[in-house]
Amino acid sequence: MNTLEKLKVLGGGTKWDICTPAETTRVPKTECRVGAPYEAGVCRSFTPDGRCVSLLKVLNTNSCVHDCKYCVHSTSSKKKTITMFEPKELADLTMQMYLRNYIEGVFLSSGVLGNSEIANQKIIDTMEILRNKHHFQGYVHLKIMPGSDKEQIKQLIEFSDRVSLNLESPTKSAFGELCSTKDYNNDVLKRLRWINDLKNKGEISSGFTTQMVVGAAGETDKDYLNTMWSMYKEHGLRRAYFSAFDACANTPLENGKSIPLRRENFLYRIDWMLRFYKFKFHELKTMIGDNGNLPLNIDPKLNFALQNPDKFPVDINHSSFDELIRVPGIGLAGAEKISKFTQHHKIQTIDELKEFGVRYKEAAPFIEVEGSRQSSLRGF
Amino acid sequence: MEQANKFCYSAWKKKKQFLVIQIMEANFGEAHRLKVFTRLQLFPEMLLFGEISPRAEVVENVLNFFAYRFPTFVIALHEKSSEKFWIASRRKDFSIFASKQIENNSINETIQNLRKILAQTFEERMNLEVEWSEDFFSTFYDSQFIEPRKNLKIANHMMPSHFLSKELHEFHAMKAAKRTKPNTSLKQFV
Repeated sequence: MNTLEKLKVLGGGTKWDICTPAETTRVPKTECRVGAPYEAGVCRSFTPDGRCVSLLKVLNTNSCVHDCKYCVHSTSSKKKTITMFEPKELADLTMQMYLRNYIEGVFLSSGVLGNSEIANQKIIDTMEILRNKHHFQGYVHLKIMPGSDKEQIKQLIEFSDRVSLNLESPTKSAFGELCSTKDYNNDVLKRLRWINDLKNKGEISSGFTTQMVVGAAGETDKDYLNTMWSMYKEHGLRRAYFSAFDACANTPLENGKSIPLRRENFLYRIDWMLRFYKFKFHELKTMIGDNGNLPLNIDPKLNFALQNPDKFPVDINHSSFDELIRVPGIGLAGAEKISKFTQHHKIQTIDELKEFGVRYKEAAPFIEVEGSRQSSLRGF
Repeated sequence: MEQANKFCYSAWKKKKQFLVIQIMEANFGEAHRLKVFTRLQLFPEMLLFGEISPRAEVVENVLNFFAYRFPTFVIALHEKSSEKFWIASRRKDFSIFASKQIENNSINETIQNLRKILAQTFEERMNLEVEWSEDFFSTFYDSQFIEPRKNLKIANHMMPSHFLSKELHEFHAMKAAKRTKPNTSLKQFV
């Protein structure tokens, strides 16, 4: 196989992996370097599904010893073309694309070839060429294999801006259903604790992340919320990514039911409400229905507002950021602008309010402007 | 009088000050887009060359960005709209930031001359074993698209189609994705 064919197979193998170039605290060397991380991350291009293409996302190899039922690269997959990048080949390909300004950096993952040590070593070899021979200083996101050796994790972290280790599932039982060759506690959670220890020593410049498949083994949104909360609180996770289960052909779950994207979307909203909107964990839990899932017919923030009528309406001119951000139709930027503006001035009309980027139709039932509140059915 | 003293956000927004901010934002926006969407050509004589046609005067900003990003390389940009040739480098042995007017259709000649000079000036060469092919990016780009997640609304919002030139692979990929009906011909019905 030539490099182009390998790129097609191994590039396609990472399309379900989610990553973006994030802000990094790493300071690039001053001389003899190629590249530097862009201050706050940047997108080079977008695919027709709306996702950005900013990193060269590739697998080192798609050969894997694990039997994850949802994965097209696992041993249980019926049909696949196995190939592998040589470290020099992948390093050169990255340099070619980076120098031509097609990419912002590289995201390197791999199937577990033989065992995790071999897979990690291949990534380390590639990174050694890239960082030490080519003096590459662009953004690097590396995937750590489950069951990795502690020393290798250290080495991988040294080369990278961000690392990630996939949880795949929020609970041990669901994880066991999906994969019989990995141990949830030992191979995944223990490694995440090691990574967190290294992060606390300041060795990871852009934190670490994890990714979970949504709904592959019947997990509920409550499970995801609980795991997400404990990951942020106990493991120091930078952020959690979700990927709605899609029944891929040639896998044991090919006849399974794909999960609607709306569910993934709502989990991301819950994630934002937890991290940026400063919602309390117990507040988010109240939004979950009897079946353990978020209702898919109503936006989580609107759901919260309807369940807590005592907290509304909010007076736009006399409310803090924390109160404003809870109003449906007011986003982060809008709430920040309004709370700053109302410190010295007053918002008097609806038109003024709209100029702050507020979606008035959504916000109207939950706000007051100078004592007046929507009182007719017209606004609805 | 009291009414007149009241601060009105709309009026404040319409002040000249706001217009200046708008112009600044437009210029920064254009500079940002040029930084991320300008594709460069790599020459082994430590030369990176790209072509741009900005509407605002942002070339210096873009050139500085590339010179900082690739301090061991010489960056050359051809401003197509005004036929200007820009060159910058942060190398200690070849520190330069200059521009010159070139004649129409003489860009290839200018590049060749520059390559000759750089070949004599530097001993090092950027030779990579993997030979570049334009298909690399298009293949990679296509491999990242997940068909069941097609969302042209957000893709157009993030990467407006009027901004894409026909030379970019993304232009053709987006066009193909927009096509709801497959190409059909009578032959298929026979």
